[in-house]
Amino acid sequence: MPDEEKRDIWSTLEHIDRRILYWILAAIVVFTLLVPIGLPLKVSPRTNDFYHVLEKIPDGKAMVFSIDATVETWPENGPGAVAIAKYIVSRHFKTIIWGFFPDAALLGEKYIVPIFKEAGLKYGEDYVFAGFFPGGETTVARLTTDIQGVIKKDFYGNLIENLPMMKNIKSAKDIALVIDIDGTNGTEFYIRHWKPAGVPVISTVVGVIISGYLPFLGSGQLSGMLMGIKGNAEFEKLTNHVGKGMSAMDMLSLAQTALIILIMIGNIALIRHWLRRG
Amino acid sequence: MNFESIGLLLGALFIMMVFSGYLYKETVWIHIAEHVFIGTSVGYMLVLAIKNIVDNAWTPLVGGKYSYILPVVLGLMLFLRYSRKTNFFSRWPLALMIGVGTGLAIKGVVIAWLVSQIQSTAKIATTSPAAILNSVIILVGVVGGLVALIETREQIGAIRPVASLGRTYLMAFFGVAFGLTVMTRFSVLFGGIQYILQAFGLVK
Repeated sequence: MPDEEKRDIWSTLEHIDRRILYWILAAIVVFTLLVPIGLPLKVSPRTNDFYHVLEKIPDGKAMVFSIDATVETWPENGPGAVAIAKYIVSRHFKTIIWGFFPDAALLGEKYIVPIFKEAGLKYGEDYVFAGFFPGGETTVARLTTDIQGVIKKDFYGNLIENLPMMKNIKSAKDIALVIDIDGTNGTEFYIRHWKPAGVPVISTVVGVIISGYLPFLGSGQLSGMLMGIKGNAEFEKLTNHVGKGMSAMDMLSLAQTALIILIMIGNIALIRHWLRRG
Repeated sequence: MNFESIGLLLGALFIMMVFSGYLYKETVWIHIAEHVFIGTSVGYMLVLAIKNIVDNAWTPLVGGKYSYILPVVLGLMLFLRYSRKTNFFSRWPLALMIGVGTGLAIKGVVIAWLVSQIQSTAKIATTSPAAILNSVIILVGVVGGLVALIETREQIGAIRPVASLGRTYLMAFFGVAFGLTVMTRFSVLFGGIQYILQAFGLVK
């Protein structure tokens, strides 16, 4: 094995088993969960803008809380969704919770509705949980003109027309704001149909789709956006509803630092290899 | 131990089975986890689909709203595609669905993706020197990106440097998108490990 004997530390690092890298990243995540560090976090202007859109809505106004996330995207969408729901509860907005992707019913019932219940808000008077509705964009478009024509019953089987809160909520005109919890590009439906109907749209999105939505933010079609887990953590800090987003930021900071160091080591080793070969 | 605790432990076990494929090696456990995940997902979707048919079509129909017979029949016609003799008829409801979807999307897309974006790009902000610079950078990027994607003529002469600049913009965009995707993947990893630790009572 003469070649292997000649290997120095850089050559070894160049051929490192990728499973070792996965173990390092997994160890960082476990460490940040077991020993929260609380690294400093500065609230970005975009998170501030998102907060100010919510702040400007008068107390008691009706709004739509649309869960267009999935179970897979919930680790990133969830902290922001929970923090927003807690903020909504504190402001006594009349809230309709629904979603156009199948996981909406599951996620809404498990994570969002309990926040309204625990705050002592009355079902049917302060909030309504409509669950999941099929039809995607077609349904979102129809809801702008006729909410009760699409949603006949809520998630629990009650007739929508019998719920006191819904007596004054018939179409997009009666809604002050749409908040979309987006892991699936669902915000685009609202930008295409609810924004032209005069309803401002804000969204908390997963990292993958941030760059696709920035043009909408620049043009004002999207009034505010929480960007990935970082935006969610910043919103938690801003509203004093500290949750999983803040601990995820410790993980993200350490894991990305480790990743940058590993990328640098890999590149140095590669350049060294090229130089040796001439 | 109640059903919720058992469910939590089972979930943690399946996540560990999936992780084992990356942290150790590909074993039968990762395939078991994949198949169970697909099976439960399909089961969940099927139940939701049946519930939607019952709520939105069957209940109004038997309640006397006979106009619902038309969408029900069109829905059933989709199943005719499984026979070679009748599969032509499944195209009718498909045509209707695609037509409605396209019509709605085009109406929204023209305003959202074209009109508003062109207006926003062409409007140079004058509130501060930084805003002016930002607007110019965006305008140059949009023009360069569009020129870079022209495939109908050779990119030579004056077009070449503009296209080259556009390609640089596009590469920067892809780099940002990739970096943000890494952030999402870390969040998923974080969620998975957090679930395992919660299931074993190590974190709240």
